[in-house]
Parts: sequence; C-alpha cells; structure tokens
Amino acid sequence: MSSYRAFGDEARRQALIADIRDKGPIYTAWLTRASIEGDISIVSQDFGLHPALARLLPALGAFGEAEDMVPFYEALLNAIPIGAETGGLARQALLLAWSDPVYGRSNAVQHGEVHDACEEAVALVAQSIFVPIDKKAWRAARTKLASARCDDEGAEKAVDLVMSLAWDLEQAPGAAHDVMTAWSSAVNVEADAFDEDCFSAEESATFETEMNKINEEAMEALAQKQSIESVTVEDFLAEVDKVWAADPARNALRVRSKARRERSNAKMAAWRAAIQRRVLEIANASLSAQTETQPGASPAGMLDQPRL
Amino acid sequence: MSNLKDVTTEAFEAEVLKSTIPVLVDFHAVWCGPCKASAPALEDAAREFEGEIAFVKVDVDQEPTLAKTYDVQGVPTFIVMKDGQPVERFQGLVSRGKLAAVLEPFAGAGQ
Repeated sequence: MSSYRAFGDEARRQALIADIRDKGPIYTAWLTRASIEGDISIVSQDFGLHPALARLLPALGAFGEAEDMVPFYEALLNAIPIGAETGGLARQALLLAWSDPVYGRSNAVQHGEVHDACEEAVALVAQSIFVPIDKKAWRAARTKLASARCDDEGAEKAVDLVMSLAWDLEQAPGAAHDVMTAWSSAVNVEADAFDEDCFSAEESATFETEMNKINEEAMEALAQKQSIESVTVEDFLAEVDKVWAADPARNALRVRSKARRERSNAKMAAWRAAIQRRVLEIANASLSAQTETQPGASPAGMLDQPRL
Repeated sequence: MSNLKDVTTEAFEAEVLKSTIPVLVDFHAVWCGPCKASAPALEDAAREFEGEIAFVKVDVDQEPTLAKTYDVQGVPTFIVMKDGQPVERFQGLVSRGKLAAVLEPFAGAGQ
C-alpha cells in the first residue's frame, strides 16, 4: 500500500474537478494522449492520487477522444474520500480486465495450464491490494506465464494482458496503462470480428488498395489546386470524400467500412460505460469504508516516489 | 535517471557484443512517437532486470551503420543480443507485458 492520500482537502478535490470540467492544463496533460509519453506525476504529487490510478484513468476515458467523460471523472473523484489510498482502487479496477463476467479476458483462455498461470498472476494482483508482494513472486508468476504460452491467438492476447497485469504497481504504475491498452485492443478486435457485416479477406485487400489509391488521387488533385505545404488535414479529408463519392462502385465498400467502424465504436463505448460503472461501484463500496482522517490525509501527496 | 544508456558504433562491441549478460538493444529515433511512448516501459523493465539483462539505446539517425548491420527497417526495433548474437527481435510500441514475455526466458526465473 502506498503513502499517497487523495486530495488533502475538499478544496483540492474541487480544484481538480474544475480543471477537468474546463479541460484545463491538468486535463490536457493528463486525460488525453499527451499522458502516454508525458510526465503526469503532478496528479499524484499535488492531488494524492496513486500513480497507477492516474495512469488508468486516461485510457478508461478513451483519452478524451470519444464520449464526454467529464461526468464519469467527476463522479469518481467525488466518490473518493479525502485522504483515501487509491492504489487498491486501481488494482481492483485493473482486475476487471481479467475477471469481469462480460468483458474480462478470462473467458478468452481455455481452462488448463495457461489459464492456471494467468489465475496465479491475477491472484498476486488481488493480494497486492492488501500486502506488498515480493519482486521474486512477480517474476515467478511472469516466468510461469511466459513458459505456458500457447498458440491460440485469442488466448495469446489475453496472456499479453495478464503479463502487463503482473507488475508491482508501486514500482511500475505505468503497467496500468499497458493493461488498459491491451484490454481495449482485445475488445476492439472482438467487436470487429463479430460485426454483422465482416469484410472477406478479398474485400479487405480490395478496400485497402482502393483507399491507398484514393489517398494518392486526392493528394494529386489538391496539388493541382494549391501548394502541398498549404494542404490541411481538413482539405485532404474533404478531397478524399469527393473522390470516393465520384465512384459509386468503390464507394460502396467505404460506406460499409464506415458503418462497421460506427458499430465498432458503439461497442467500445458500451464497454467503457460498463467498466466505468463497475469502477464507480468499486470506489463507492471499498473507499467509503476508509476513514477520512487517516494519518497523512493532509496535505495531499506522497512520501515515496514511484516512477511514472 | 535513465537506465537506458545510449550506445555508439564505437562502443557497441564493448557494451553489447562482449557483454557477459544478454542485452536488449532499442533502435530508436528522436522523432519517433512509438519510441517515446515505449520509453517508460523500457525504463521499468531495465530496473526490473537490472544485473540480468542490460538495456541500451541506439539512435538510428546517429548510428546508421549499426542500423544497417542489424537490418533495422523501422523504429522502434528491439533486438535481444546474447553472446554477441541476435537471438530475438520485435518491432513497434512495446508494453511491459511484451517485454516480460520476451525477456523472462533470458533472465532466469525469479533471480
């Protein structure tokens, strides 16, 4: 358990919520793709959120690129008592990637050696909510998982996810980001695979070839009208739309592709909404038990400094 | 401080080819987004495998000879070197899970 304690006082919590609502500096550095390469240690240093929770939340909010996530972030931050330790919440949320009855990857791995190795790693994560886990135990769990890898592609993705789960979040909080990335990728692949209008291999190849050709045609058309340097993304996309629309035969594939993407995005949104609900439930259930007057509750921040 | 040392062509023999432990070589470029996004995972792995696996970086723009020698076609490309020979390679944005899966067999279980 880390020594990070949430917020420090109500004013700090409200300052963070206000920044998120306004999509201010902390929001843009933290809850967007800027967080992937960036240093978001301020979220832990100034607001006392565990670094693993800080790394989990951008991915859980689709890096601000999909639905409006502000209500979720507000609800979650309001559910965290002042002075609460949030590393446990991060771990419980990440465990959903394996154990959620609908979306958890446990279902993707057949029972047997690989599944057992995954379960052992997951059990360590569950234990780590309450007690520190020795580095050797993490290493042993990962080694077992590595040696038990199988040839089933679906299972392999789930094993990759558990491999990212099996890290000490006090030492490597960024593993939370890896787990969420692996999870969203797996859900996305599944959404595409089970779409009502899947492309055949031939259609996929044709679509890719036509898309490349049309991109080139669009650039050529734009180059005749203006200098290449002055072409904006919007110009390019508008021209691409025109070229596709001009050829109904080719455009039919694109229309199908766009419809598939929309259905896939809707499935991803449903996944995010479901997991956000579960995270809120966990926060309300587990954190409410924590007293708001724990030692170190004020000021917010940390005593140790895990790397982000 | 970074656990990943930048290695030049001149230092490659001593740091990599003659290393007594396996070495993960990260062929990267300063302009490469996935290289930057992979850096935190590499730092964590370098700390986790300290003393068992060495981690070094090679900037492909600064060291084109090394990139050519190891047929690096894109960045990031990662090559595990053991006893002076490449024994594993993979490309693209890397997670801690991927690094663990690749490196645990070279590190020795629970050392």
